[in-house]
Amino acid sequence: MSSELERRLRDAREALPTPEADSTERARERAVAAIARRKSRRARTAALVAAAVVVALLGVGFAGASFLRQPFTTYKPTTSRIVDRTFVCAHGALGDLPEIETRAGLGIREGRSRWKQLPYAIVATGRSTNAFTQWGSLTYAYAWITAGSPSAATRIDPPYARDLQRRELPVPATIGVNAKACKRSNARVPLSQAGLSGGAASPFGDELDCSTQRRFLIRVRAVLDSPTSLRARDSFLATKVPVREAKLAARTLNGKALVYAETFDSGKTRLFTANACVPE
Amino acid sequence: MLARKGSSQAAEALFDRYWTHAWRAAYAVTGDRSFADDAAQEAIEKAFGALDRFDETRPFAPWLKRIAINRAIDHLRRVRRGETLVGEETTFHTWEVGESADEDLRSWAVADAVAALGESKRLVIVLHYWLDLPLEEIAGVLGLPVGTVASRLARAKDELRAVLEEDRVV
Repeated sequence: MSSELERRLRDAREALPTPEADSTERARERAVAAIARRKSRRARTAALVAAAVVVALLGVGFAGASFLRQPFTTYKPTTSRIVDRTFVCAHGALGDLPEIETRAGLGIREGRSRWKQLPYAIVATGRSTNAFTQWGSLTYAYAWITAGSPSAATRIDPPYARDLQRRELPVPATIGVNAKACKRSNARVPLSQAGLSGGAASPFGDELDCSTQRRFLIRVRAVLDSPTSLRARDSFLATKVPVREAKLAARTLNGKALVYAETFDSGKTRLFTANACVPE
Repeated sequence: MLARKGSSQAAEALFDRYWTHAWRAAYAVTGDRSFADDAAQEAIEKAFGALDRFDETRPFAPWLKRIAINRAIDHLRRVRRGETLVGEETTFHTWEVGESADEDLRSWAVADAVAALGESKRLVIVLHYWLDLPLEEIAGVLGLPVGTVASRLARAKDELRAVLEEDRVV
């Protein structure tokens, strides 16, 4: 029994996750910078030795040795503007329908620089659900993407983005993933419309239901205006940094494509779904 | 050797080879992605900055792993002292679903059970079974007598066995 447990324990380390691409890139830059700093220190030390020899030989001061005043190579940490994460999500246990609902809409401008509605795409639970995923206007969302820079008056996801008094709610975050329903996954989810049908989303919003199993995969990829990472906000991992373009894909655990959506800061949204998905 | 001389290409090659290794060691100790990012990054920087002191006749991976483990444990201690707020994404249960059903689900259940242990027990299990440290080395890392480490390990295994037997994993 003990050896069986020990074997299982050793096998379980294979379940350890791997680092994210953005943290890997940051670490790579810093590692290379560490090597560069060593090289710089070595060069400086060599220069100091050479200068000392010259001084000793010529009997002159250090005043002209301007290179000695140059600072060491400095490192400025960089963060990625790209967020690219895959999750395995599960429907709640209190009577959810085994389906996901995808909603998407085009951006609607208000004047030249403001948005009345951001281009958006959302993957949410079906209608029959427990209330474990509500946050601001993103009712029952597993994940959502937008593009463009919202103002306080900008909205997404009508008619769901309303409170109990039917007032429209502001955009809570530009991209987000439900942290209660979804966990990170290493599974491969292509960002592709292959095998799906659809096209440009309607400004009034498209809404389709897709049957799935209890667990399914979601991948979110976004190019943001400035470097950031997803942070825990309420029950979601989210950011408020404006998005230039974003992609959202949902698949079954077996790899069957369900949804693929794209949003662009031009205001365009494209939504593709499996043929078995049905409009609301 | 090239990395030691300051070659950025050699540094990148060294990084590519060992980064995931260091990160997973840090993650195993902290159970938190953001702490693992920080600890592994610090470990890599420290190792790369100290290549002059590295004995080339010995393998690089265990040296780096040990630095990553130490950095990760430092992070845990800072959290315990309240110097660091709990970081982003700590709401996540970060053990990941694999692709092949039964064995992966068993591994996931074991990883879940390990994650649910108290920190002192979890650490000895992780250091011994996932990071392959002998008891003497664990005692050194944690600053504990070897006997204490051994008894903690035994208690942790008892606890895991009870949970996993109930779940019919072992």
